[in-house]
Amino acid sequence: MEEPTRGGLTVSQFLRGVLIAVVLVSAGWILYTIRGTLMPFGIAFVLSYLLIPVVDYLESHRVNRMAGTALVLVSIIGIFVVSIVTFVPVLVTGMGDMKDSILGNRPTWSCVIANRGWDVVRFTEVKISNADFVLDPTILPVELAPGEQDTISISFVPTSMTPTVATAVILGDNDGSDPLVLRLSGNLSEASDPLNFVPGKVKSLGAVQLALSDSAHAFGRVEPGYLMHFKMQIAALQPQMQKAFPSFENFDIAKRIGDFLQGAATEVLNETPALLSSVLSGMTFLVIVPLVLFFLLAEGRSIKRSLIEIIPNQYFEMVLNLLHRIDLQLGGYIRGMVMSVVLISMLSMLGLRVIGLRDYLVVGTIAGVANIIPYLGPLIGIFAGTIAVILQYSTLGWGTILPVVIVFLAVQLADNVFVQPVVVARSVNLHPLIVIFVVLVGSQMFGAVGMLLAVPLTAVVKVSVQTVYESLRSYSLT
Amino acid sequence: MKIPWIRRSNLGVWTKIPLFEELSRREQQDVNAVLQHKTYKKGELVFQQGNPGTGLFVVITGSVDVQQEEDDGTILHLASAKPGEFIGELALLDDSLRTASAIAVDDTSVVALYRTDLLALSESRPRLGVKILMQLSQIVAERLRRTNRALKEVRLMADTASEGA
Repeated sequence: MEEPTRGGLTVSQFLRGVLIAVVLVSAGWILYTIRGTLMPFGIAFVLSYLLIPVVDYLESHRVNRMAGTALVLVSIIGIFVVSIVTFVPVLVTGMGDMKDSILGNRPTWSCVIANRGWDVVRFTEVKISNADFVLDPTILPVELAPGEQDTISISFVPTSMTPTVATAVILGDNDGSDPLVLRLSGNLSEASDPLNFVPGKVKSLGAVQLALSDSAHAFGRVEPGYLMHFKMQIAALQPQMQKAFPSFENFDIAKRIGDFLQGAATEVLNETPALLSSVLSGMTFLVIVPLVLFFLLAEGRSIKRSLIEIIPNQYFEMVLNLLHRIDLQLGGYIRGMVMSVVLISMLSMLGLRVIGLRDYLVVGTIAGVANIIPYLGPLIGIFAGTIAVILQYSTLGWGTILPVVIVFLAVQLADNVFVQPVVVARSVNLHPLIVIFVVLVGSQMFGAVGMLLAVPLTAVVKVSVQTVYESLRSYSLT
Repeated sequence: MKIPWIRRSNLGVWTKIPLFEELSRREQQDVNAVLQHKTYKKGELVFQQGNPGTGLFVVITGSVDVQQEEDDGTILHLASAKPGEFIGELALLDDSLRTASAIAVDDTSVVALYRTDLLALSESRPRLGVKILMQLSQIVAERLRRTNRALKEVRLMADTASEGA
């Protein structure tokens, strides 16, 4: 009897397809859910590809595999610790500085108000006379019972370096006639700032006695963030824009664009240094990665052998062949990638150092790591370099930008002429559209780290699928 | 009392095949570490003609038939491998396609040495690798000589046949 068909498929074929799809989707979902746990294993896996040749080399020189693995691991941990102690702090502070320069470092001052009287006091509003000083989110009105205290935080977000003075008036609904006044100043030179040595004070508000920890605060010199510059420049264009497009009358372009950029920049810049330090200092990583790495290095072959043993006789020769080819391709790709990151970082740092860029370590590292992403990577390097130039010289001119661009062009040239030919397997040809797509997907799913890992992961998948496909064609599968 | 790590038991019948007979006890143990034990049910394919080869199989128990399928579909029986005999040794040299199929005619157990493992072994222990590869070359060379002799005889026969005509 013939099985009923549906669109050319037999029902059992259809069901099998559905089953495979369900298994794949649930496997993907499980992997996505446990991605945090997979990270140390993934890192150990990648590292093992880098280190297996070293252990093999040692073994061929009559070093026992266990001993060789231990030796390699100890050296790696040593290098890791030294780099954490020396390089990473520089990098994290450097990135923190860059973040402050772009967003402004936003110093915040908190003033404690204590109720020393015997009546309840209510504050309803804080009026600040200058927009450079921003009241941090506070729930108003604040009600203070006798003996209670609360804090009011004010941040200084300057738009320029001009000296600024302001007052913050804390209005309560008990007695409006004599409000609490805080005096604020910013960007005054230290000697001329009258607010530097104002003591805290106790003030009577009618029958109520209030104590202030400080009644004035000098913020000192605070450079406006680069975003603020940018916002000001756009704000200056607003009148012309309104003339040209009357519909923009009630549309504060500067604020909109500023807010958008602020949001985007905050996300990327705030997360990255934190992420870097959390990844490097996380206990799981420090314990699990070396552990997994040890077993992969010392017993990788027997692990692989016992995995192969499960494969049914019918397929095992084929699977063995596939595994071997994927192994070769992946090993080449991963080793090549790490090698080119290191080489490009060092070349960029060298070049940037020569032209006298202050943040050459940070920019060089960014450029080297970003170089993983084809097409976009070099642009990211130039972009980071440009920002560093702006931060250093606070202007954007050809005289300062050109050397950076030339350095990166030279590095790209060196990459193409010297690095790429050596690192043959790095060139997994991905279509530019695919690169853009996976980079965007990566950034949406995992942020900045996702952007970086998207292309290598795609390349790994592509190499594997390609190898499987090519090999399967030479097998007569029934 | 048994002390396992100084026990000198025979590693298995595979140590007797020409490929491994020159190896020292220590080297045989290294080879043993990369060998894979496999079992096949009666009638199962060990490898199939036309697929890329992966390695050599030594029959431990049971029996394996080697047969070639001709272009016209007829099946030519080439040889049977009994315990202690080996098949598929050319796959240790490259991954060219298998020229014949191997089928288990009984429930059979084999040990397999794969090319990738042999290469890794040769890299970590070059002397051992050289010994095995020299043995393999001698087997191949001997077979080439035999083929050449056979070819010569065929030519001679063809010449005498054409002279007689």
